[in-house]
Amino acid sequence: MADPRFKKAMETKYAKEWGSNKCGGQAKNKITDKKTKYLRLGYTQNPRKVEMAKCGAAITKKRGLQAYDPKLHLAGIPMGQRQLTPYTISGTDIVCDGDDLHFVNNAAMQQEWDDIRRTCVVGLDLAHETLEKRLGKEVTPETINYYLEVLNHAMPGAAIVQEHMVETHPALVDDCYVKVFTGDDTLQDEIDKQFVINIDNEFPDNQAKQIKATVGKTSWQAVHIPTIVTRTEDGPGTSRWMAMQVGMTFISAYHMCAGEAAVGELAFTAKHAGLVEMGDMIPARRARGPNEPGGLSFGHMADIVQTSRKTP
Amino acid sequence: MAYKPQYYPGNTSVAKNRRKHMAGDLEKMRDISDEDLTAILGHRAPGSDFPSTHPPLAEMGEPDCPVREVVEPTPGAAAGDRMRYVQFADSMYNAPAVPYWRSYHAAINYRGVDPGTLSGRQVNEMRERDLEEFSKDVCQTEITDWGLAGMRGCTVHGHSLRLQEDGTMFDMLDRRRLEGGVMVMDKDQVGVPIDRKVNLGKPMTESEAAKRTTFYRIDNVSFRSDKEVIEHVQRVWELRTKYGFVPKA
Repeated sequence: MADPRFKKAMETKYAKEWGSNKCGGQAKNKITDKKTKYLRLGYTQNPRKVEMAKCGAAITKKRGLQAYDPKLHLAGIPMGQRQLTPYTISGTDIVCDGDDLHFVNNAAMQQEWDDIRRTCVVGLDLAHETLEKRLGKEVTPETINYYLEVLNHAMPGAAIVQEHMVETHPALVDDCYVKVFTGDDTLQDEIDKQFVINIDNEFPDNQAKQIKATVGKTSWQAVHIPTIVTRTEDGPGTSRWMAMQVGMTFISAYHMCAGEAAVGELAFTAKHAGLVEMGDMIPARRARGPNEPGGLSFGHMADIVQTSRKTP
Repeated sequence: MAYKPQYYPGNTSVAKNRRKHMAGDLEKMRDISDEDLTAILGHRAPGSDFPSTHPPLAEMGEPDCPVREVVEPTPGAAAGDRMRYVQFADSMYNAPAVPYWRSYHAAINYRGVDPGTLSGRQVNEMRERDLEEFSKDVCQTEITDWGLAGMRGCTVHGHSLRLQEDGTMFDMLDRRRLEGGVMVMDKDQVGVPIDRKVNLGKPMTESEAAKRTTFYRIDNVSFRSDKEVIEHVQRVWELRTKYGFVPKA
């Protein structure tokens, strides 16, 4: 059996030099050691800390006001009295400084945060039933395609059925889109490829099979509203933004009356009945509504993390 | 026969040590003078009076309260002392005290103490003169091995770090170190230099530490080697899980 990844990560961390920490050199560590040589090399053993110190000094000079200076740590005793060791990102061979894993320094973490907050999933089936049974409208692959075309125009913040509206500039909201997924291969084949998340293409076979069996014949929209919206609003704003645009798009795509009672049914579907949010509401003392990363259970987070999909 | 509480099950040396700590039945290992202790605690200058936050209780005229009549104040509370702290980090490499056991020891054997248990360190807060009496006990007895433990108010890392080459626990602030075969401390709990080198006595040898520790370790006494402990722990967890669950009611 190959060595466990954890062992390899620990060897990278404790038995190999990183920067000039002399971990594998002078300190000659093995991961099973119970003792080590503490070299007390300070922050200069770590290139990232050196870069940060240089940057802090430049900011201090430029603004004439104290900024980051590692020598201010503990009245002159800088960090690095033990080896400053790196971290292996689980499921990968990527090794990085601890500082790179601070969310302020880490673009991927910020992207993840944004992606959780700006995403919601909303079912199409309830809305289609309302259109068919209550209003007698015909829902076909053609109407679904047209609806998705309009929705991808509207979701970033564009007007559809109104006149003299302010709209968002497309260049600022080009990360916004809506795609659909289903476990029904026949339906999937009939929808324009640009709007489809093809489960078979995105996941390893065994995972795809499981997901498709669970989704079955139902169809869902994965909605990602613009990042800039969710950075200004909060998590619960995502479903409200989505529901507004979905509602307007149904009115336009299916030629409905803007005030008819069925619009309320569609709005209820989008806002509540067919809505899957990424996170639950956080305990009230932390004062955040649903769809914030804090309200995401660890199990769901484990599903959202893409390691097992990308490196099965 | 007088009731003798049994605080902890098990027949291994670790289990026995745990019982000893809880019962306060600790062997004295070294002498540390009152002045030296005050210096390393760092709360007041050695020899100075205890500062106070309120007048002595006897002068204050306490409200009529049956609880106050029943509970005799500790000397520190009676005098109106400040609340102060003492915190220890203990190495996972067979230090005598597991943080939880420092809390059990303090809570069972001392009055007016507020123990705080963390993963690798443990803090006790109490009135200043009570704290000094308590600290003297823990500093001088087998609950503390100054090689594998450290009195640390801040910058506490050490518990889970590898030991230094000389077998003592790492201290970023180098408050105490091995010199001439004994541990000496020349900074207070928070790393402020003091005007003396306090002799904390010889550190325990590796084999002695392994004998006196309350840590279960796979390379010394493993947790699963003590059948009675396992049974007890499983029983506690089972009762905690079922607690209050009465399907027939």
